[in-house]
Amino acid sequence: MSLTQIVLLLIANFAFAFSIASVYEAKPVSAVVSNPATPVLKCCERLKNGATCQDVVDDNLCQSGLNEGSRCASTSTCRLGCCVNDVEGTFDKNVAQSRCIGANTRWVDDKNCNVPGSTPGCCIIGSTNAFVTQTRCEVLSRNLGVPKEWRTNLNEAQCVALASEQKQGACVVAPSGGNALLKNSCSFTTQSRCIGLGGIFSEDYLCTSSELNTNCEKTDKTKCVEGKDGVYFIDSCGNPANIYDSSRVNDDSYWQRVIFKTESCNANAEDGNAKSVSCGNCNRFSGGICSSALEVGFNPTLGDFYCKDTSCMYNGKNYKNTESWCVYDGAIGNGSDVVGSRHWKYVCSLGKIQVEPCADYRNEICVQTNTFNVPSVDGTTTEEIAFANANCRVNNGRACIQLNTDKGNVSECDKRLDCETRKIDFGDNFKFNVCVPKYPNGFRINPPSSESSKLNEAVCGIASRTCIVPQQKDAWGNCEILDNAKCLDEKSGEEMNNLCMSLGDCGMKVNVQGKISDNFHYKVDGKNTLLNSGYISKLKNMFVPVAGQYAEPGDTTAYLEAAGILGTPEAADDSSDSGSSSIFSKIPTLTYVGAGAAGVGYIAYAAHIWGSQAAIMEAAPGMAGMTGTTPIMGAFSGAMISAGLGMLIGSLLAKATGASPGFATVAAISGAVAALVAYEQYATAIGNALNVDIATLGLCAEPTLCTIILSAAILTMIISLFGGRNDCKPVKVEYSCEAWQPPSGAEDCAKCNGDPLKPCSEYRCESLGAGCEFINKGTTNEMCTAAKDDAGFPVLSPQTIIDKPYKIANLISGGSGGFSVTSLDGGCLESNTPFEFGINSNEPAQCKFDVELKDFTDMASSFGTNGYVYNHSTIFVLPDPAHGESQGLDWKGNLTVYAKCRDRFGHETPNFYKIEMCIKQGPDMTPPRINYVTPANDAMISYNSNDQNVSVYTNEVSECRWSSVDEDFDVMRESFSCPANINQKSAFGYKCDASLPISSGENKFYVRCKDQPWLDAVGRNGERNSNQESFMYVLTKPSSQIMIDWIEPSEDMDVGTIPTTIVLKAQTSGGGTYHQCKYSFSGYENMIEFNDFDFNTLHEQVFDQMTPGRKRIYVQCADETGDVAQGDVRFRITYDSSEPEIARVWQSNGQLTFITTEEAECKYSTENGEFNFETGGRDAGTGNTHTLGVVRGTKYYIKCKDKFGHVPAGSSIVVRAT
Amino acid sequence: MINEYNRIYKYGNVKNIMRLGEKDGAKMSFRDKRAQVTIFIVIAIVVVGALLVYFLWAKPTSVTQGAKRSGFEGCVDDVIKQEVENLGMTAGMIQPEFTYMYNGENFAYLCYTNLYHTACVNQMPFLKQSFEESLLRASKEKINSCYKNSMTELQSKGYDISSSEPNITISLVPSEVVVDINAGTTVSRTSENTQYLNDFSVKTNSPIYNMLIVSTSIIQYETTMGDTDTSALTVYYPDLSFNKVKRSDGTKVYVVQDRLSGIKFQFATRSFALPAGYDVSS
Repeated sequence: MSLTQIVLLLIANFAFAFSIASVYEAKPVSAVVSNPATPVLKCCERLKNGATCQDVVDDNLCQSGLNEGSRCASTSTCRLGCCVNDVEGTFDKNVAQSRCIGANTRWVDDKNCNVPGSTPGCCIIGSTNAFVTQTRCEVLSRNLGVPKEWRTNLNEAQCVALASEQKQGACVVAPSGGNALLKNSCSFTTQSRCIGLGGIFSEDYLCTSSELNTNCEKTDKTKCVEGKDGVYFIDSCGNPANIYDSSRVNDDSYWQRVIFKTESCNANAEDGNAKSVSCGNCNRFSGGICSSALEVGFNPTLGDFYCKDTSCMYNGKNYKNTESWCVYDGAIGNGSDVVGSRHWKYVCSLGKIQVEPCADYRNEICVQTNTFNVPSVDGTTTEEIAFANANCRVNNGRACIQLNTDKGNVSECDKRLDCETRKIDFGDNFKFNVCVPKYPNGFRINPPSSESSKLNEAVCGIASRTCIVPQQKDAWGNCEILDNAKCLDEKSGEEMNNLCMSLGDCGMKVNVQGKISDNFHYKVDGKNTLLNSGYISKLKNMFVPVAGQYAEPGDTTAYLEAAGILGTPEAADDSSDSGSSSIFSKIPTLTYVGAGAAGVGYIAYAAHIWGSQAAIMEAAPGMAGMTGTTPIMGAFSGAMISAGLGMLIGSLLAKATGASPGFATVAAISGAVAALVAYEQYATAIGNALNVDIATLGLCAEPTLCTIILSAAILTMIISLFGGRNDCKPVKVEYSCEAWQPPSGAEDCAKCNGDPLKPCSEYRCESLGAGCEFINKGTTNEMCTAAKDDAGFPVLSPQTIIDKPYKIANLISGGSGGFSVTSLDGGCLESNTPFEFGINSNEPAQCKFDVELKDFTDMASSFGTNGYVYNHSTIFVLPDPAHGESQGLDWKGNLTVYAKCRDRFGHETPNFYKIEMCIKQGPDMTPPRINYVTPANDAMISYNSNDQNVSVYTNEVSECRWSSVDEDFDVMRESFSCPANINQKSAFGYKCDASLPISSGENKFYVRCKDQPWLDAVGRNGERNSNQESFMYVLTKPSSQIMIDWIEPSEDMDVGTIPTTIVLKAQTSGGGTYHQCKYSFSGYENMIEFNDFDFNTLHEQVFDQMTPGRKRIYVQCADETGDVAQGDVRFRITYDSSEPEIARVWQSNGQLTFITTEEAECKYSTENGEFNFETGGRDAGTGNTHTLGVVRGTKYYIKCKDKFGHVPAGSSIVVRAT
Repeated sequence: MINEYNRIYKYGNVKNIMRLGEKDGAKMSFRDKRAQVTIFIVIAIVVVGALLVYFLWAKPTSVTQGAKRSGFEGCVDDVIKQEVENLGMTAGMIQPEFTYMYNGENFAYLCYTNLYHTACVNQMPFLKQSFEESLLRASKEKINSCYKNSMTELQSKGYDISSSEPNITISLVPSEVVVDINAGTTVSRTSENTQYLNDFSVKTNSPIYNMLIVSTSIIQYETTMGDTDTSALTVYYPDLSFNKVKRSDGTKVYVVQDRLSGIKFQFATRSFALPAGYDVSS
């Protein structure tokens, strides 16, 4: 029993290495980190790997141009903007200023290129179209030597489709020399191209038409034609003729004029004439597209081309061309995602299944819908059509974990995308809710750094809990359970493992091959209890995908509204805007690359009815405003998250999960002390400044419950220690959730290779076995293979002890070896001091230790991490045997720690590696040490507070007092409330609480502590030790509360592009030192942090997708004290799409004066109005009023350009001087 | 000989004459065989003469005197097609410096960030213009060589050629690569008029322009959204196929391929990469 108590005592003292070490190595009192520990980013102009203009943390990555003091956004060389070539008419986004070089180039400070002239339109030039800017269109026209037409009323989809709708015909060129004996040459092209060739155009005539007397003859050859689905005959000149129809090859009438697709063979074939030997009237949406028959050994009746089947067969299901679906590696959702798995998007692309893996480590999930609503052909109703649509989108799982911090709110969990609440209720004193991801993110199995490893463990540690089941004897002498009875039920282990698994790659879970690895422990009174075999079997089956299961797109309305993307209540009131001010209808550029997945489906459906190109023409305008089956509509519906909106969400989420300082607090959420370590290491200034209660976070998700648990534990301890003959001691149930480690061995490595539909990756490979390695990355021989197994067990050796008050005294020979540790003078170690020790293994290994001899799997603790590493160390505070004795422990101070290690292939050290030491018994000559305070020393506290609850942590059981003057402990009147029991130790020590009165400005408090309070009761007060120097504890109240001074923009504005860029600015003052602001377009409930983390008082947020309309932006700012200020601003954005107009013109005294409707730059010509504004014409002034000298009788062609670059193609006005 | 001609005209064709010979019932004598040969010779002369008339007088447009465009055009065509194919594999760079290895090939990064949760920085502004410049650098010597070979061939045919060093420019337009050659060239022959050639173009069918525009669009989306919907691209550009592979480190490898010609344009990006688990390293 005493040994168990020792173990409990020691385990209670364990802290992960960095936390206590850093606490003690810093100062005796170490508050919350006062200096932000965020990595400092510096701009590097050129990295060693060749990349340019990157922010780096590690200077060694930089080859040249390292800017020590600033990020790239603040430098003149690497600031990102729009690179414009005025002559070519091209605009490139996100280009560093220094890289925007060359003739006719200029750099504009707008990353998104929302600048005049950048809006593309449909450039119609000959038989091809291009969706380019107006300037670019002119360049193309010049280069091709054909006239152009530039239209702004078409989006990209329509523009591309229009190309194939252009009228074509025979372009006949007479033989040179005019020899009537010779026939004309001919090419089949558009009218505009024909003009360039100098021929005579005959619309809808084929070159083989007998009327045209050409030298082109019919043939039985076929070919595919660019931009068209079908197989076409070609004539002897190589021109396309009509659609291949074997029955009409010799029909002269078939070679005269163009016969349209709808009038050609099998026009309405359900399958698009796929695999037809005689008809080439393919329709890629219905099922066929022109393709080479020779390549596949297909034998059409004539020619070498046929309609290839564009549908795909997968798992017994037929998918139409462009349909996409999700494929998974196992069960998904509810934490089921197996380790090593990722989600996959499969696309049927012209008869081939294309695999598009979602981001690895389940950073993306594949979402799918199978139907969507489309307007009926007559437009009066909507109908639901079946069309599988899938897409990869960012997994919001990390945000769920974040809600478990004390600054989060678990009750918001179910409203958050990809989050769900797990409720644990095993008794009155063991119930809590945890917000978990539906699709837990994967962890790197071999983390790149110990910090990453600890963070992963911290997350898993949320599910590490201790449940105390108190008992007492009933009247019959039996033990009656007082509370938390369910903790003793093995089902509780299953539930807690389910919680554990849902946090990430944690706990007892399988990999993609169904191999289970046990990283969850359910211990009752220190004894490992196995989970039910039926439950384990269910876990093992999770690697089998569940038929018909797929992830739902989820409701991202709140995100879109908060970001101002889905239209706002303000915009709804704006009747002057035509249509919705949602980004959908106003932004043709959203379809610049392509519409949403649902739009794709709509095209496919419509194509079946109307034919491919017509379908695009018809569908394209409608795509923007489509409705679907989910709340997120339009191009966003169906599978969502595609070009445009979906990716915007992805980027918002990506930014939120990573860039937000709030994310840093995810480190402080675990029940393990590692959380505190990680927080200390990685908390941002704002995290510190926001005064997070570290100790509470370190222990529990819900502070109140934590205290209750601890009290219950104390009670049971006291009863067990001092309660006499009470055999109904409390039962301690421990749930331990660790980061998932792969099963030892390497038998399954090769199973990762060889599946082209599921290519292997590092994550997948390493999950298959601890001995698996992913080699030859990037080469054609990339593969998962077994690492070299030396067939031996790990050989252990002690880690060197440097700069510590103890040393390695002797090495132990025999068995697996070991060493003994003594003080520097060879004696026992001092109690109440941190003892850091460790061992090294000669190969990557898992190591554990215990104070009892046990099997490896049953050993109490891992050495630092449960991963396979070379260096294993841990740290704990050596308890004082005298103190223990004073509380009933029978222990003289001798301690042996037994360690064992196992390598990746399962080879274990055969015997125990021993670490022996002794700890001095009293008398205790050292006064208490204050380890930690919270709030931090020198912290700012709320402006509105009149008192502040503080906590002081000591290294031993003590009494603490405070005073506003520096005086001896015994004189101080005010006391802290401190624990009296040795077992009441928390992560940072013994926690003493008090409420300190606060006045404005700086408040100084002097704190001293005195140890061994129990000695008073036995008249040994003189043996107690008190601090001779006070710890000066300073808390400052700001002189004024944080407030928002102003927010911009606050006035209406005109813009020249859609979308446009605006910069939201908010100036704050007062309050604490660190200010951070959030914004939203929908209200204060869903807010998004400003994307600037410099914590100064001027806050900026760039919106580069802003649409016209009324806007209202809500801003909320907070300082480190937690005080908040709110404000909002309203303005209106009006899109100026028109060219300047001439309002008035008159002539007087040989001067022509005219007034423009807006400020404009004007030029004139006396020849014509078609001059190029940039390079031609003469100056006619800038502003609203313009004057030029005129000659009687001369015509003046005047052209004006506004500040947005809008200028007419012709003249603004033509005036003849009188 | 004349009699034989007369007989041809009278009887219409050689066959009939042969039949006459047979009708005569007698085996043809040596003298008759010689007559046959003579007839064949005459026919051959007539055919060749007609061809000469056709090519020298009628001057069909498919063959042009002077620069011998068919040969030269074919040479330039081959050069352009080959270089476009080569450059497409390296994202338009002759020797890309910053690449990502995948499947044994080096994919040039066109947009990159080394951080997580951050948009990429465009590493190659003006992709189309860059491709044009690279294509010119890669093909200039070979085009010059085509030009010189054509001049040499013309000289061998008796033309006098005088030309300056050609100035070559290349521009990419929808469906074509246009090679403009500016070479003050004089082509002359004694019996003919002198031709002066200054500017002429060779146009090669190529899908590369569209591929570059679409790739630019992909990069634009990578810089703002961190991803692209290639499914939608497939619908709008059915002649192009798009393959996108997301690698574990956040790099995306894109391959844009023209279905008809097989030409590829491939590159890599890294934008809005997400760390594994809770990795803190960038």
